[in-house]
Amino acid sequence: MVQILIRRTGYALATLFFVSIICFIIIQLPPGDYADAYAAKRHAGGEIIRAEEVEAIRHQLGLDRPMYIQYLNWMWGVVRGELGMSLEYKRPVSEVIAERLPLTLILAFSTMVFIYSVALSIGILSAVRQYSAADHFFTVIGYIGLATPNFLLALLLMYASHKWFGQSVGGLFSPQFQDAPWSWARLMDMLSHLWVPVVVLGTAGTAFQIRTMRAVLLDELNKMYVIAARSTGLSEFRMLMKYPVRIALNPIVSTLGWELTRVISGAPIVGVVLSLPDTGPLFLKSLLDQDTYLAGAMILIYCTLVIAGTFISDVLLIILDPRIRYERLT
Amino acid sequence: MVNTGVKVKRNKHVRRLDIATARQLMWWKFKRHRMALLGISVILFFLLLAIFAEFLSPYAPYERTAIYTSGSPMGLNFIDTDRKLHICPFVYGRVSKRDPVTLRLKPAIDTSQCWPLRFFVKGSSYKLWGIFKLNIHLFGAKGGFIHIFGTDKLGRDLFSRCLYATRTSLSVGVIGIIFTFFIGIVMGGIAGYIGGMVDNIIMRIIEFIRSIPTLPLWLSLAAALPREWSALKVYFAITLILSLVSWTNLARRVRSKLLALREEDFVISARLAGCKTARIIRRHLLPSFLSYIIVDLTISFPWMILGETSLSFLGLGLREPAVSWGVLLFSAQNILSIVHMPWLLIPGIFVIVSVIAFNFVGDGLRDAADPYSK
Amino acid sequence: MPKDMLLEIKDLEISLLVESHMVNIIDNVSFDLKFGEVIAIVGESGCGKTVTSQAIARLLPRELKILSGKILFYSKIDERVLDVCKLDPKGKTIHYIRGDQIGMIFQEPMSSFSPVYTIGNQICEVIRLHQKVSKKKARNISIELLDTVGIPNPVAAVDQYPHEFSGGMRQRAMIARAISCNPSLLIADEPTTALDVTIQAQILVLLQELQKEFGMAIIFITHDLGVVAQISHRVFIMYMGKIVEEGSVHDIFHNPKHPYTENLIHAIPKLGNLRERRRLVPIRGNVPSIFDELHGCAFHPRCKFFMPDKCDVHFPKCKHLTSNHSVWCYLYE
Ligand SMILES: Nc1ncnc2c1ncn2[C@@H]1O[C@H](COP(=O)(O)OP(=O)(O)O)[C@@H](O)[C@H]1O
Ligand SMILES: [Mg+2]
Repeated sequence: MVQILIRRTGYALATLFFVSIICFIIIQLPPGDYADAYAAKRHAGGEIIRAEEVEAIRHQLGLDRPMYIQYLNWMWGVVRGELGMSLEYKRPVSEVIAERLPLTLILAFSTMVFIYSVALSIGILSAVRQYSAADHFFTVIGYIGLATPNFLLALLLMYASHKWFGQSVGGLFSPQFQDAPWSWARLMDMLSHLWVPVVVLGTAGTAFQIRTMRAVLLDELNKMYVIAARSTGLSEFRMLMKYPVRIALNPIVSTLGWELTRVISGAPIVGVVLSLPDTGPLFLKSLLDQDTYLAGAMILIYCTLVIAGTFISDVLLIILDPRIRYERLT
Repeated sequence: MVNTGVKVKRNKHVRRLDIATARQLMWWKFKRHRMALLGISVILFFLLLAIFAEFLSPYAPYERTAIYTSGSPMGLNFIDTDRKLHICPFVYGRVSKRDPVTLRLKPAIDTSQCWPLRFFVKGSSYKLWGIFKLNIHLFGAKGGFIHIFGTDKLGRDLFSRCLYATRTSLSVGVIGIIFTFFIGIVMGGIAGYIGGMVDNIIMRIIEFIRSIPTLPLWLSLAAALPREWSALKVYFAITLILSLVSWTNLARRVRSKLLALREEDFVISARLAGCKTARIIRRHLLPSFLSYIIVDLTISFPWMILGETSLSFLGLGLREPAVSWGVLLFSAQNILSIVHMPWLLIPGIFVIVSVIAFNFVGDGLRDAADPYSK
Repeated sequence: MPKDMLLEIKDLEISLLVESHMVNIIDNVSFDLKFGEVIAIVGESGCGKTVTSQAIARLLPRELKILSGKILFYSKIDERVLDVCKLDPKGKTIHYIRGDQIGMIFQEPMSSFSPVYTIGNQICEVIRLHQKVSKKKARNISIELLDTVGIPNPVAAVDQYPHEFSGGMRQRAMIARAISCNPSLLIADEPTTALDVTIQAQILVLLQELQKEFGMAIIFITHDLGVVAQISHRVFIMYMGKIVEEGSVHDIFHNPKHPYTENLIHAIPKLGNLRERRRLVPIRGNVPSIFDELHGCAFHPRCKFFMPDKCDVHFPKCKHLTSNHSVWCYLYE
């Protein structure tokens, strides 16, 4: 058990290392470096900047050193929580992100809860009542849900709510709470807004997980142990929950990390369309402005979240499935 | 009669029905793929739209109707205000009126004018597939203009633009699939055929790619493309970026199939007969799992379309003057434009319908390829 | 009504429902079983043995329906006679009967336990379902049961997962679960088919011992006549959803009447008299599909005594040869 955990941790750290390299490359990709960009910015502001000055900045920031030194410098900063300066905001990247990250976390977490609670119940229903009206209904919904890109769903929801309720569903707070300090009322207000991005972000995942759950459960329902369990006199519901559903959970749990990848993946675009005060719009803006340190840091954070999620789902799976424990130990 | 649910009368005919059952069972199995057939028809229809976009669209994609900007879809009518039935459908005329409040010029319906629909009309000239110089369009309105999906802010015909966009978006999918195919086959082939260390490294790379969030990666790669690149260059770069992420599925499949197959008799005998590695792969291995490759490629097609649409929608993919579904949706980005011009969302229907169609086909093919699936 | 009767099946008919069409799977099957008696149902695979046995506990999948007939179960506790066919399949009574009065063992010991719970957990569950005992007590009973069925070191085994058991061990554990509530009927559906020959013999011996010890009745289902002789009192030969011959073990083995039974006996490898070098005779042809249209006796295409215009028109009537040896064949009319 401990051995497996250590190995998993090793995997996660290795992935993290490669991700950091990718992020560094992304930061380096645009032509020119921070000093050039800084100079261009000042220049655009009407200032005259001499080449020596640019060189000085470059030297000061260590941008004239070899790549791997720069990488190590950057990584060292990352480890200490210093992610560089944002060109646009003229503030440390970590500060800019810290303001918005909690909302992204809340959004991702709520979406995951939404996806799995809805998908599991509907998936079980669809499998147990295969080919019933409800099953067909959810199959159709599932196809549409899978095919609708997040942003389109967001647009449609916005249009519908404007047309029928005459209110905008964008953002996460009502105007009066926009800049208010945290309070119970503000939290409630946020929750009442949160469902829109959660639904938008979670629909495709829910559709996918319903299909998975249905297929896996149908498979399990055909297994011998189901009839064997029935033959002991267990009531149908208890039998379902204890035997096939419990086993169908294993493949579902193993998709947790991957589903989180998708949620995190879709979050920026939904954030942009619904103009949420989370990291999504920040990320997109940093890309469009080539605010490289901010962009790199954002990708690093997104990837870290996903890696952490995958790690957790792996560990959960080991706990849930005695077969895996057994396999690895012998 | 116990627990039958359906009341069944048992008589001599029951056995008769039984005879038909064997054949019927096959038909019932086949019927499940009706959705796949429907999907294929939809895709073929879209392909036709894309191939004959110039002919089918009444206007060129950048042609403007200056007096009908931000115009709503013009519905076809058969009965006019005088309750007169027209054999040939018509659209009502449009005039510009000054809005009494904002004092802006706004298009308004003029029911006194009827512009009848005409087929095979002369319009702006185009070169079909870059070869045939023509100026015939499938339909047009006599005496005025016709915009059945409405127009955008600049007065360009949304219907025509949707057709051209279908061409672009589907071709992004097709070219992306070709890239995916090559990267997947080559990487999977190398991993599965050489095995050992190489296999290990490639599998780690695949795992790595699959464990990082794709959209942010696409976004940042797309954002890194130089702004001054031509539309064509951007187009290929975007498709390449999309396939850089999507090849992993195929590569895994190819690898595992190869690992299983290379132990099989016919490969060993081919090797004994002195075939070269490349030839073995091409002649013996590829055909034996072509069906799986087709399934995988069909399944990744919708991801390509969704990826392109999302990137372009955010302004990081294709850009004007290119016309793709995502580019068209880009103009529907804020709530104000959707509220005033909801028809700008029509390209979204194209996206959804095509993705559903591809998913249907993918599911059908997957079932067909796997004889043991239910 | 005979006093020691346990189970009586009368004219059972079961159909497969496919999109509002019906295909008969079990046709007019009748047999009975007394307390403590062991009967065997024998037939090639696909002839409907599993379906018959699952109908007794109302475990049929949704697409299989009991069309008509009676399954009378003479409950040992309250002296009631229940028609299992008339019970609500989701009701209390059937759940009480299952596990408590009828225990079942299945063909595939590998997949009859859920892989994610310990053996002990899955046995205790049945015990606590039907008996008001504490968790600790149930656990002790499980350990005892595992000991009874011959699992070495039962105290450790109770906390092990099914995948840590071999196939034979799992089948023993399965038997332990089936007899945990001391049922009056044990249905063993090909319990030895998936096992090695040596282990097959062990399981048969175990079942025999348990039968002697607890005195329950056993319906032993198999496609292998060879394993029948040592364990059962009476044998029913089944072909395509119909019973074609029934009799004592002695009758069936030494005086088989139906051509199908004869064929089955010739297909048994005889270990005892290897010197005789009798050739094994496989049965001609294959089991037809349930979808094939077969009038009359379903065996006629494979039968060497086939009489045209007779065998392929109507199913023969029952011919009682002795008080408990009957055959359904035109050869004896
Ligand atoms: N759930 C089912 N759906 C369709 N056909 C079934 C089903 N269960 C059993 N059958 C059919 O009923 C016949 C008898 O099956 P079964 O009782 O399992 O045979 P066996 O004697 O080998 O146990 C077979 O022909 C089988 O195809
Ligand atoms: Mg069977």
